Amino acid sequence: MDTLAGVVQTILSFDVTLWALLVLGTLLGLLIGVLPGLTFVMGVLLILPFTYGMDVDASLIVMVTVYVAGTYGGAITAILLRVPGEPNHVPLLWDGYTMSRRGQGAQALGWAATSALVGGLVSWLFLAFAAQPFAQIALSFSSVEYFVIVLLGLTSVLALSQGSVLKAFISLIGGMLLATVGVDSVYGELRFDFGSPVLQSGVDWIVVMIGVYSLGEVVTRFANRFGGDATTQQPERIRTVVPGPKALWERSGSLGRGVLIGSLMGTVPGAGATVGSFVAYGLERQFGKYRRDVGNGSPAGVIGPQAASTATVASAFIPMLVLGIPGSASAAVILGALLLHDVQPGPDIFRTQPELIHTILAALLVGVVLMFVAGLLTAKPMIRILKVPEPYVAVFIVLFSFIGAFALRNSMADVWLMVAFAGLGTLMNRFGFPISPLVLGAILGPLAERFFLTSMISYANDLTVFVTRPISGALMGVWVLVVALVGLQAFRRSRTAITSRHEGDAR
Amino acid sequence: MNRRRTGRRSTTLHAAAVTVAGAILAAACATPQTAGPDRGAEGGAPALPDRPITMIAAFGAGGGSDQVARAAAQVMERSLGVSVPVVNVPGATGNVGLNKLVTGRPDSMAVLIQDTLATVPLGTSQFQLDQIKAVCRLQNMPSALLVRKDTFGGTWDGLAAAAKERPNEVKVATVGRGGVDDLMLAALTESQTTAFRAVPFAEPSERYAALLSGSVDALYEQLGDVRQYLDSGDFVPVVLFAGEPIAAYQGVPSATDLGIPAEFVLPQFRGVVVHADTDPALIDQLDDACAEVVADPTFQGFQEQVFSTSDSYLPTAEFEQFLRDQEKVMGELLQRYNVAG
Repeated sequence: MDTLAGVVQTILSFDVTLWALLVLGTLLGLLIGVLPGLTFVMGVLLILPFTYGMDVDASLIVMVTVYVAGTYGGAITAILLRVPGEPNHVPLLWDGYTMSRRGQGAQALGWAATSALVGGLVSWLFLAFAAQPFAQIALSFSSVEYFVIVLLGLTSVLALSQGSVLKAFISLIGGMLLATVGVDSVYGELRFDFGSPVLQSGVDWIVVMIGVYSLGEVVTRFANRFGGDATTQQPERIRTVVPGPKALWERSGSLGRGVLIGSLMGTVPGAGATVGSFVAYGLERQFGKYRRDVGNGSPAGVIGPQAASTATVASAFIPMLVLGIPGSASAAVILGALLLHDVQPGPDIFRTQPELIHTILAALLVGVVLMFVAGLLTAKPMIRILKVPEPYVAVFIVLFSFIGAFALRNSMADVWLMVAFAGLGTLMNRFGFPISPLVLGAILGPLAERFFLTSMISYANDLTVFVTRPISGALMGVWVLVVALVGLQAFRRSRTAITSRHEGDAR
Repeated sequence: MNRRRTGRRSTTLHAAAVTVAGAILAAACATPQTAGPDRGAEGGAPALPDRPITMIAAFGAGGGSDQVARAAAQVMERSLGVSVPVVNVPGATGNVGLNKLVTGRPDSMAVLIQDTLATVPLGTSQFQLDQIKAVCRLQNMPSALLVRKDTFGGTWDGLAAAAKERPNEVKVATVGRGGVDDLMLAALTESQTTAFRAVPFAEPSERYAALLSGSVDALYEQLGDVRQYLDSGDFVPVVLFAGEPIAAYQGVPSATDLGIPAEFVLPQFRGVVVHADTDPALIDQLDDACAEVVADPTFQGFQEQVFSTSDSYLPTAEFEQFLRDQEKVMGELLQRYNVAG
């Protein structure tokens, strides 16, 4: 209970300036989360130079709150505009956006905010009271287990597709191939560059994501002359956005799965919010109570991924503080900032610098709550965006797509690639190829390759390690189950010949 | 940890809060370039640059390259009078970042490290040495082969015995194929007949987790990057790859003790380079800025923490020569040990 007392004391000792920093950090995180192309890692980086002049407490508080809120902000645009502000919000497009098209945008936002709160709080408890055992779990994962997790993520996208499994598969492989362009991370070989310096730098999946989703969506809507249901189906009055206790209890399964997945994925270095979000969505789709509705505007498809995303934040600090290994890129930036302040996190820090731990815990706790409050306060005005005639909103989406693609690496080449992917996305929409597998393939493909090669080098090309190691063996079992389910789905569908396509039924 | 509380002076923090508000505006513009403090060309001598000079960190955020880039950029901003935004352009052992430098306009800098330089003689680089010009070397730091404290008796003899008993089965976590790590392991193989299996991990955190968890038996790393595990006693160095002895590790054999010729020992370095077409006058100014960086007390504290040696700083001409020499040595080593990517 020393920890709890320490945290409470730390929070009480915050002066006006620190509170101002907490609020500013939260707002900044939300803003960065909303902008596609500006990931929360870049958000934390943007803040870094301003923290040099502050003391350790102040700089920790700002960076931690930006990081926490950054995992939530993108949910708002994903749900309302089908623009994923962050890669981990891609799963929210499937159900969140569908909900908002149905006039349930307020509920979707409420669920997203609540799930982020629950994910943040529960993983905070893990960090505060179970950091040691969690860190030990993290250490029992090696590249073998990472590979199987990523494989699970890749396969689950096939399960998500409601149209042809073959088309989803083609899209997935396409995404994985796109990601092989450039220099590979294990052997340093240049691949598929066709002599062009633009391609030598590789195709960043954020460029793919912004192109096919944000700009591509605008092009598709433009081609339809913005016709359809966007403004017509909004209810006149939005009654409530926060789910009540009964609804919460009903959805506790989704919340629990999301939080656990997020806490685990945050703890193991090499995964993170995006992988956690995808895996959580896959679980809801395969094993959740509402699995039949997931993909069709079910809150479960919002809850799982968002709870997982925010749960990765506190848990990313577990290996960082216990072992000195940052659990995510953002945590790595914060670790770097600590080093510049002459603070060395590592195995001894819980004992030697409890005050620092209390500051981090306090910042996380307050950050999570502030993010929730800010999320609720902004939800209602945000819903009004849907009342704005779509062409005006589209202008801003286009603007942010271009800025986002450029901001990624300050490269015009990325902007042109993004435009090309917008074209590809439009064509894929037109010919009934689902887009999400493409994006997922581009995100997870390189991870899968790297973890597979590392495992193979480490175990002298012995393929059996994937089943003989206990954790990876168990995960492999789950994978076989998922593949069987997908096969069954494909078989049933080919008999009933449902032609509706996954992204298509949203409009 | 007493100094944490003393630093809480509300005036500086108010200033900090205002700066963060500025950061929000900067973020709203969404270009990291605008995120630096707005210094403009206030009061600078006419010879000083009048536009921001980007510093490319060719590795991921939070790593050693990133830290040195950010620490140096901060001092250089003061000295040059323009903002020096740091951009992370990671990928392919730093080649994506260096490629960005040489294909862009000559108005930015990049941090070059030993591992990236090693890809030039290896033939996998996306730049050549004549496409860049040296500015200064900021760090020169020892690398080491490390093991967990409770394994192999914490000594080279223990590790070497295991490697001889089970050739190619004792695993060493490295950065990537064909890099300096591989060359140094090959040099050990030649002088000590120890054969290791190098397992590449691109992310530092994965390398450290691999050694902590026992997925690998040893780790090739700069001492400074694993300071926390050295301080906690979890990792112990068994061989040092350093130009000069390190006070804290007198008893640990150095690579030269193990029969590797001194000129073949390649410690890690980090330095600043620019596009070959950069105005020589600007390079001079950048080098002056480097001199201020290494004189800065905060930066010196940082140097100490990462075991950076006393001869770390090399001005333009010497660093240029150093780069060429290193490229030559690495070329020879690659041939000698027949290491390929």
